Amino acid sequence: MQGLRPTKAVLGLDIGAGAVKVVELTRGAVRSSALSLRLSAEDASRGSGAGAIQDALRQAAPRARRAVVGLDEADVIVHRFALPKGLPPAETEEQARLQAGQAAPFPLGEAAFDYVAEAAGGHTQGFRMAIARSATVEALCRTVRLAGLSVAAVDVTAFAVRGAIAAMAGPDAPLAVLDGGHRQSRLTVHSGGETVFQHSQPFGCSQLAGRLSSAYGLSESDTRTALAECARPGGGGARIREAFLKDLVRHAARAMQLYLTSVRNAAPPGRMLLWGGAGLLHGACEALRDELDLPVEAIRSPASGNGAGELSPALFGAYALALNDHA
Amino acid sequence: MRSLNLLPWRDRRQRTRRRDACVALLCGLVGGTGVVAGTELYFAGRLHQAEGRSSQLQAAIAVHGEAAAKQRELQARNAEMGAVLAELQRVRSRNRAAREWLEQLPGAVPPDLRLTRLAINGTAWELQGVARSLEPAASLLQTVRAMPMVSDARIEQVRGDSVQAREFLLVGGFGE
Repeated sequence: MQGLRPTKAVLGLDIGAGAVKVVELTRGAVRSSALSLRLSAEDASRGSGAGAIQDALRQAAPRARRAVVGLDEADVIVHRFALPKGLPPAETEEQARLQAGQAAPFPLGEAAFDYVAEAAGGHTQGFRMAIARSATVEALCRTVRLAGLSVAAVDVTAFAVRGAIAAMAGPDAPLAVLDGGHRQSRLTVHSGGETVFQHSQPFGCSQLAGRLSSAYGLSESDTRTALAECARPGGGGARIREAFLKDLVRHAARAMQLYLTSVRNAAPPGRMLLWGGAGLLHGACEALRDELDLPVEAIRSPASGNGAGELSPALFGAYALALNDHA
Repeated sequence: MRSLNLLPWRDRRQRTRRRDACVALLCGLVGGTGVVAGTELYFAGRLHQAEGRSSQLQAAIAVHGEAAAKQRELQARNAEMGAVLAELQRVRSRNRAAREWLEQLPGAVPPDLRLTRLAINGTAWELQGVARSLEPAASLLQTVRAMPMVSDARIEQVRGDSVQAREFLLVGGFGE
């Protein structure tokens, strides 16, 4: 992470299911940011995402043209392996290639993979490898290039966020992070700089959009506007939002209970950070705090500026991607 | 490095490293060749200078050799001239002795003795004459012997009887 302060101007591009998020980092500080909602099912497909990216770029008007793009965790296979300590880099790469060949359910020639070192044991060094189909990576790169950007690196958004949060959390008490995404919500618990628990549930902001659409009979474009209106305090659809938040809190509490019961010697988290689209909803943090009985706050990037703080919970993924070492 | 990058950056890095290594090798070769060529040029220049200086020195040595030969020749001539001068000196002193001898000789000839031939050859002289008896010749021999410039004077030959005049030959030399 290089101290979370890359020197070149770079864009973090988080192409989510519900929105495209762009954050421009210059010398470690957020220079510009934008979020462009994409509610249409067609628009959400990878091939036609260039329009949403261009829309987000129009809003952000960034100077940088190099982007770090994030793949969804569902598009990658995560494989962990250990190698003896002190192997030369060339041999480590060769061993990693063998591991990728074993772990990938498709030919190695069609795989794009990378690995990073994790915790070290007495005589072994652990590695975490992400494997994706080359075609998926290529399609994503093509979409980004269609929007007029060059791809500096392709990361996994969830891993980038975990890395950024781990760097922020430090070796303190366990930290819970709730990602209220478009299609799913994911609870992750970090402890000692590592991820010790993760649980995903198919419940996200798309449910809120569906409820708004069916309650008021809205078109897709109107639903987009209604979602933004609903997130604000005093905005319309407050009842629907509160019902959604109750469901979100219930899912979060269930995931937290699962963490406390399934992880041996699990210490309760000292606080919770909320990110993703759910972090934009008014009253989300309070509802979670009341139910889970621990401090909850919407995540903020540590180096925000130029008005980026307002959208920080949703833009954190893009921010974390922009911190990629390879950019 | 803790970030993932699913782009083939390791292959690119390997290609970049290979290219960098090739470029470094090429630069090394070019640089090495340049250094070798530069060194060769430098030393060729130095060698050329040394050869030039050597030829200059050889030319100077040749000039000095010629001068030495001339000097030796002059010394030889000088020595020859010294010998000639010494010979001249010797001849001169001999001539002086001969001149003094010739100046004193008329006074030494007795009246009854007639000189018929006088010869001086180098440091030797011969006096041939006729006298009635041997006395005048002996008197002349005594007188000549008394001269300081004369050495080894003697009667070499006497011819004739006691009635007729006798011919005699006195020989001697000049002292150094």
